[in-house]
Amino acid sequence: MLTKNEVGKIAELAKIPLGSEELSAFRLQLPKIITFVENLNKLDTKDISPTFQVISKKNELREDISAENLTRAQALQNAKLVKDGYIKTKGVLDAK
Amino acid sequence: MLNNFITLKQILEGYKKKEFTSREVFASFYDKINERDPIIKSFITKLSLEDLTLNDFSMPIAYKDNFSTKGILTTAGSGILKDYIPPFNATVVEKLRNSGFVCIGKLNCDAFAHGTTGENSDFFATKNPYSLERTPGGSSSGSAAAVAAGFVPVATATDTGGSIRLPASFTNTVGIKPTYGRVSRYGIIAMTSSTDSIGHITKTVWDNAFVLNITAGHDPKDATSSCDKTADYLSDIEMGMAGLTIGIPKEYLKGLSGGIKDCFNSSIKTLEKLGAKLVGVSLPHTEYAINAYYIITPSEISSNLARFDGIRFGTTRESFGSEAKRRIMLGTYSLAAGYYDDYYLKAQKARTLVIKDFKRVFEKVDVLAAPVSPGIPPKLGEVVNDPIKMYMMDTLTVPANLAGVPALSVPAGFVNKLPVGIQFIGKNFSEKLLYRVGHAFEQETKYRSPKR
Repeated sequence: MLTKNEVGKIAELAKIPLGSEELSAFRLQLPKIITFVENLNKLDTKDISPTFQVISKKNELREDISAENLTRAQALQNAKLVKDGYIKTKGVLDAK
Repeated sequence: MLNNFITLKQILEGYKKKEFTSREVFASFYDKINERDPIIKSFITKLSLEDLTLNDFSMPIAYKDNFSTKGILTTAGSGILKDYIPPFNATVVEKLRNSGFVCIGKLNCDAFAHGTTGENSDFFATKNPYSLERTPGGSSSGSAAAVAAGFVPVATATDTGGSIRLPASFTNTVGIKPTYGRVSRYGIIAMTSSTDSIGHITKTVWDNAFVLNITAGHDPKDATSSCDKTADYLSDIEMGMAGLTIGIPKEYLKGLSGGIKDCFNSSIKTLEKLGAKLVGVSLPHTEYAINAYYIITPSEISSNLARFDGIRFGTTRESFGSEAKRRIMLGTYSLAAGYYDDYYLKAQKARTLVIKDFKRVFEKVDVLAAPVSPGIPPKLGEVVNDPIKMYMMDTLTVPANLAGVPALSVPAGFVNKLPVGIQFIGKNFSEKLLYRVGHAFEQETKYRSPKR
């Protein structure tokens, strides 16, 4: 069973703001799902290497030639706050 | 001859013979949409017929709403993207457009494709045209329902753990999950980068192969797209099943509801009648695939959805729906320092074993045949509040995603008047063979019911 603090900590790491109702619901639900996936512990995976990519493709490189891309206006069209052709955000390090 | 259950093949032939015009074809689909979509609710965005630019050979298509469409609202079924207008087209959209397909709208899905019933859409639930109280399956709920209801002859979709095959099987339609990397993922809103497969849903196997001929191929914009040569997926489609060996994996027959089992047994008899040699096979790690999948998927989701910060596009992270939050939370947990080896790494090792199972059986058989879903389409509200029940609906579809292999879902009959599908699974890049098998099965069975 996860404590309320543990669920809160995961939410904080994931940057998901949770209300207290959601926090309580996840506290009950997450352990059930974790128990479900822990069925894997029955499986002996000693000496088995993991697979991260299924079609055995190697890195693909290209010549460093510039190509047509989004215009500035297109790149900014979905931003909520734009100033002087840039996206405006809150300060990250020293928000005043 | 012009009706709403017309196939792409029939449309193309009709154009050549000048039996009808493209405007008449589009108008006929729009009439059906206007009449019935208020009930089925498959579209999030509908373009108006007057705004479309048609030529003599234009064919209608609708995109699952996680396909980026330039200048057209693209929400991925999520509230966080409720006002997102992409400045570019997904590669698949661009290819289909260049081949004469004209987009008529965007189709509902579980938000970010997280779900098996379509009910996790942040907007509304789509209904199954065969039974309005039931789900059409998910996550490509709108795509399957729209094709089944005769709103459109083809709809694109994505299959990360079964999201094409499950709804296709629940709606009497044909769905392809191509080999991982066969179709470009560029411009598709990412769910699980290592298993996302880009496919489509059609009424017939021929139509399905016709569309893959357009969408398949290497894309420099998707580093995981395969450089292997594509095939002509229609070239062998009439060759029949004689001489092929089809494996029946015993692990896929466990826990099936009664009707599904009977239906599958009668499908097997059809395969035999068509000249296929059937062999019982075993893929012993099948039961672990669903566990591994529900570690790998939330992990990759938590990473992919980290980019949704509400700064460059979309609204803030409070707007995530509950399933997206649940998956982000789980993924964050399983990737956290101290847990990584026990969960994510363990799951990727289990994945290796699932792949080995497939490799071993494909030394003996040409394709595998299996049910798509262990049960019939659930009623709306039946599983959506029980995550594990919902996840278990994917049991028979996720192994192919973990291994990357292609799978084709074809209509196999009805249980209690509800559609049931059969899936043919092949080795990597064997789509051509799957279409050959699927077509032979379809021509013999023709489980087509116009009543929906």
